[in-house]
Amino acid sequence: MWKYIGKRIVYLIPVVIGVTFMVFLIMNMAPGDPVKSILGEQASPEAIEELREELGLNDNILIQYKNYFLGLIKGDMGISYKSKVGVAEEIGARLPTTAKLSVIAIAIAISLSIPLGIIAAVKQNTWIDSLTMFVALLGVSVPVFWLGLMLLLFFSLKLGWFPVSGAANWKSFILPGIALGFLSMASIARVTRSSMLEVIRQDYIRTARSKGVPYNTIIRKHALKNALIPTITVAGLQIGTLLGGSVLTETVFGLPGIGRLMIQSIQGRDLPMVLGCIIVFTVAFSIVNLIVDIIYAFVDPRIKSQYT
Amino acid sequence: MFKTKRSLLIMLVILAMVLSVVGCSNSNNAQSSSSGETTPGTSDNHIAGPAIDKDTVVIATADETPSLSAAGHNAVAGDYVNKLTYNGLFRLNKDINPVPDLVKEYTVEEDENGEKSIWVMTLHEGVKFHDGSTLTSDDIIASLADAKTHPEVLTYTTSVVKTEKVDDLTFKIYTDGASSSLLYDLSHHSNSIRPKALIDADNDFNANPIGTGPYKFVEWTRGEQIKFTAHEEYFDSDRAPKIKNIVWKIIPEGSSRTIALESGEVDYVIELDSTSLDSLKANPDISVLEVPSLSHNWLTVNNEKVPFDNLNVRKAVCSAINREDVITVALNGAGVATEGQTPEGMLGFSSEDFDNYDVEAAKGYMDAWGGDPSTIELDIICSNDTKRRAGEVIQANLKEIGINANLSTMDLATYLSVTAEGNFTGFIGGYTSSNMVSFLQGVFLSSNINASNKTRTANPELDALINKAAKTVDQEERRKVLEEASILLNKNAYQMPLYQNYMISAHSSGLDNTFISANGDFAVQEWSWK
Repeated sequence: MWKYIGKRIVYLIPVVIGVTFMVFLIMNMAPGDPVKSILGEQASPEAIEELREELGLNDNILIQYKNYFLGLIKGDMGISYKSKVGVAEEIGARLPTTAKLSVIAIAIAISLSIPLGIIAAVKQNTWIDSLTMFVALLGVSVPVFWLGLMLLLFFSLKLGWFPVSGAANWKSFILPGIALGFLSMASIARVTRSSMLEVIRQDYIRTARSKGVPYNTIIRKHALKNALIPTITVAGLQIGTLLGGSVLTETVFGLPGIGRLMIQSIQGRDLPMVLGCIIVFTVAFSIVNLIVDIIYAFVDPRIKSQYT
Repeated sequence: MFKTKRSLLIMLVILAMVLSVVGCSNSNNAQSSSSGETTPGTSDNHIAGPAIDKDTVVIATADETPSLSAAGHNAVAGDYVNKLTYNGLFRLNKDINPVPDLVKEYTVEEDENGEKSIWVMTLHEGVKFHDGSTLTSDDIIASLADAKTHPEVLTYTTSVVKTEKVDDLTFKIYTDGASSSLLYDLSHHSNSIRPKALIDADNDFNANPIGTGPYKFVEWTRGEQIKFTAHEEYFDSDRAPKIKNIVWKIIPEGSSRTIALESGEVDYVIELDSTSLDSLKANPDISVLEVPSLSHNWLTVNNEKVPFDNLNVRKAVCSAINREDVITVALNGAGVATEGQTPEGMLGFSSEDFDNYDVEAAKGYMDAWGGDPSTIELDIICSNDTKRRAGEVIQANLKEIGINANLSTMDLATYLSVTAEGNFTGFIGGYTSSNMVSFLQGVFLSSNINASNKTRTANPELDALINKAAKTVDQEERRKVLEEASILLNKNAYQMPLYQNYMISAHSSGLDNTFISANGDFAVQEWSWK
């Protein structure tokens, strides 16, 4: 198992190199000049040229990438074109916010979606099933942005229960967590339901029922564990969706996270900051996938045997 | 089955208990909010919740400053916070005229060519920096020299050619001949005054912004908020801060800013969405400030490209646009129609010979051109929703004179590059400046082609007038030169001005002595609670 984990971590290196090079290439090919973004409409030709030189943007793109990569190997993620602050420092300040938001959102999503999916499967073709799937449909259809504003209007403005913006305390993460988690909850609930339906029609479940095993025990001990594999896969993939969705959620709720930082950096063509954010997202996504693979092993002994 | 029901029941009971606990704990906060009094530290909402502490004002803004260093950026968001921590030698007053700030008095002397280019200035005595050191001429000379090393603010540092210390409180600034822009440049945040000792020690002013300003920097939580506290030893007792603490919150989304203001979480919103205007005006707890800005917005056509190099075509387009409709659709009515090629409200504005909305006149210009309007290819680039909405009205207006315009959307960075490089036929843009000379220099001076002169105007007569105005210190004389330039521009219709939008801010009605000037400036230190 440890050998497998080690191998997966080593695989991260070419992934990061590939991703950073692609982003470097795309950002350089994309129209838009970081210098003009920084200096704005009033910039004179002399100021534009001077800043281009200062930022090293007159160098060949391969030389720029080589310089960036050599710095990265030494742990230097560069300096933001716009704020002149170290990229690692800026990301380090914002990472906890996005991490907290993602964890809360996925916790809300999983804790609601799995019971909902199970209940919908067990109560198939009843009003409970219809209601559950309606909520799931709503979840995948409602834009996070709109849901966030509605939550703010009701819970912050009308009831005054939660702050509108900022990340001052745990309360600040509840509404964004719900807004973000709702989307994932819907997807996971749907997969859990279909997976459960498939499992509870299996022969061994029928056998257990004919032997008089209580239905709750059958669901909990026999069906759920086998139905969880697709659910875990989707939940893992949803982390990627959450990272993407955090951009909008952080904007609506004024959370100082990496998603917002990355969008602002892309808009301003702040290449070092964009690359820094992409590296963090790439590593986070790869680690989540690794964790998902490890969880498979605990849920299904057949998969565990393949790792050894 | 029974056990399933029981589990469900238990879950529902737990959920109800959690909700009631959350509800009860917060209903107390909501109560204290409405009563307007709370004790710091007794409520969870104290940090991020309703701002009801009269020692504090919470300001919400859309954009975060890229830097707290005065010379390290050219961003409006940074200008706001720089004004809290720094002073310049001059500042712009409510009428956007430069008035002495750290300077107590000044005279202008003639150089050997008889030009008024030597500015002798004397500082207020005993001005203290936030680190306790006292302001001297050495600090002025070091600050102005340091600002010149930053390309981000190069535009505002070129008027100062040389500086010279006379004594601890007196110094001289030399300009390249007479200069009408020096005092405006000295009012810009880039020329804010910082201690020489810190500049020499290579202090990071982004992390440690030491100035003489009315507020001292306390803490910056990146992406969230910046905190300031009053500078007790502020030199100008008439303008000393009346509210002790300032919290500068970053809320990027317009609707969220409005909700935060309505809920009492913030006290002042700098950039208000015009869509929220009506509801906020109807709210007795909120005061709305609106003033026509000096921001001049227009449809620009590329004067180097056929047929926009033809005066009749440009005048036809200018006359065909219904500016009132543009304002209604794009700004919800929050703006005034332009009546000249230069911003109304600035020294030297003139509406003489400007092509106002007149469809018949537009058709007449097209006839005078003699070409087929349907062959004109005009692709209007828009970089945000407001411009897109304005573009849709213009598209319909131009259809009336036979021109088929297309609309395209670009993100801001692409738009800035494409328009500066001249790779366009048309776009909707704008320019904001504090004075007419720098407006004309930026928008129409031929040496700024490929940068801020996006119409790509190259008119030697106009260049001469702009350069003459830049060297005319006497205001009345300068007004005449600028008026001449404005009329020349109106006659040539290099671009199609649309509107000057309102600057809109809103705040808790408990806040007193607030104002915004036409360039968006406001003075936090003058605010007080009623």
